[in-house]
Amino acid sequence: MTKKILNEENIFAGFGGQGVLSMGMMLAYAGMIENKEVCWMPSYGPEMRGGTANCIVIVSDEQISSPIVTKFDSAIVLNQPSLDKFESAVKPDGLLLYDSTNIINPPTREDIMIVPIAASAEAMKMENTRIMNMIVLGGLLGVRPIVQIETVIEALRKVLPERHHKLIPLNEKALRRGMELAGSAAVVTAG
Amino acid sequence: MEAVQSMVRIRSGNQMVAEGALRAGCKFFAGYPITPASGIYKLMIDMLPGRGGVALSAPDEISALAYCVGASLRGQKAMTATSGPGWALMIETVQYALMTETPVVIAMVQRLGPSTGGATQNAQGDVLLVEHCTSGGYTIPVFTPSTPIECYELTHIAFTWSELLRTPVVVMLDKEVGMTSEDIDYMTIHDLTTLSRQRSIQRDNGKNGAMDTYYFENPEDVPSFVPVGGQIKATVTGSAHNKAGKLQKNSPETLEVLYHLQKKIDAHANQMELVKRDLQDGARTLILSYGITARTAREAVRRIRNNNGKVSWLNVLSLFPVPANKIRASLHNIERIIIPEENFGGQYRSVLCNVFDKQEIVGVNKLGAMITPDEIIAKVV
Repeated sequence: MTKKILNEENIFAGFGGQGVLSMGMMLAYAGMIENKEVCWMPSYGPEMRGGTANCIVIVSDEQISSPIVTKFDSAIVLNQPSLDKFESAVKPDGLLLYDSTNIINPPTREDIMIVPIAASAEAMKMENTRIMNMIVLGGLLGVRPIVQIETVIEALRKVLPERHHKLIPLNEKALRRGMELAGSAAVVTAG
Repeated sequence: MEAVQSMVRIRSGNQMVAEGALRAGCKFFAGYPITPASGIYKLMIDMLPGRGGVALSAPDEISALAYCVGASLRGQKAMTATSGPGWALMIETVQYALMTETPVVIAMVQRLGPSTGGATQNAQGDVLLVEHCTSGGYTIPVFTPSTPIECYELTHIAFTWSELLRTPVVVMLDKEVGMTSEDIDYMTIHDLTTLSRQRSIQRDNGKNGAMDTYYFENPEDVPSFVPVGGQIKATVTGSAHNKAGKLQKNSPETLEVLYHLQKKIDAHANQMELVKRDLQDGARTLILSYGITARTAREAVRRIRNNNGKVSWLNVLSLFPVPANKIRASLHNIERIIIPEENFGGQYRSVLCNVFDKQEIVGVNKLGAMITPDEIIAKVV
């Protein structure tokens, strides 16, 4: 039996400060731990906070040639400008997952899978708005199991300095909550 | 180093420039933070002091390179890192290093110009600015990596040539090469030999223990190094000088020194040639790339071959001196050469024109956004 070759090209996009780049980096780390080839390419404005930020993350079974991709298997967007910009960049049958809390104009494409999750609202319920990105990442992995959630937690353990390890249980909770939300989201499926 | 089971890590190009410099024995770093080169600055400031070196945060780029030149004149391997706007300020000191035959490595991470331009936008627009920054048009060796591992290896190689030739050497990245992180396997890094700087044995010229700081027999030779402030008096000046380092104009010896500055590099140009080749039998088209466009080119080549097309690929790692021999040796049966560059004029293409014979040269150029594999494929007939 031949296993399908994994080659996931993702874009994470939002405002600077939302944890867009670190969310992508955690996926890349987890991919590396699972012996995948990974590539993380950041792109942001000159501002430290508040500007637009995105990163392209490729997780693949094969050597990654070009980190430059213009069409994505999944777009994970956290604000309206990013949704407006990247909705059209999702490949047909691809995934558009977004934080629905602050979206006024929802996506309209019918040839892709659209998964809205109210990640910011959920993070507020969990009394820590900074874990919003982990809720979203959990949501992504709920729909597309690129890596195991357990591996992301292992990656957090490796990446976070020891003094922040007390935050890992909260992050794990956020990842799992995201996964649940994606599972119960009002999914608009292609076709 | 920590005990590890696997040697696979996620590293950016900038991090690997810093690690390559440490491996090459860099003991002095001075820099002024600038996107997209700040990753090198940060890692050197974090790591160098713990390894017996000195890392300084300079008040500006002019001072940063001047500090490095000073440290190198005292005998330490030194590096700075900057981007286009910082390079503009460093140019005077680059020339001073060249004129005083001071080894120094400059990591130059390009961003979109002119002026402060686009701090977080990719570009390959500084090729000619870097190479042609000297009065007199002397060759500055420039190496261009396209992956984190090449960043490590080419930084190490840059130190080697800088020491061997006693001249400033540039490792030129672009924003995407510097800031993109990838999984790398440390076990795949080539074994690199690190050189110590060759010190001069005392050669008394009968002038009270002083010596000719720039003594050479043949103009192609590289003078052996005498640290400033050591037991032997070393005379150093950025003005035209004789072999003793004394300011002098138009004497035959001074002119000989001026020719020597270029001839020592020309004499080693063949050895500096570094390219990666993936040539295909029967291919009539060659894609020639450097820096981040090498990655796009690799993908374009993969797609063309998957569609049963034929194409050859040459990636230039030593941009200057132009690796003319290795380029020419890759042109068998080639009729068309495609050169993708993220600048509007085709800067390296303009340099290469006299290397090619009868081939048709086609540029793929773009500003402010990255060239895609499809844009290269569109130029392949």
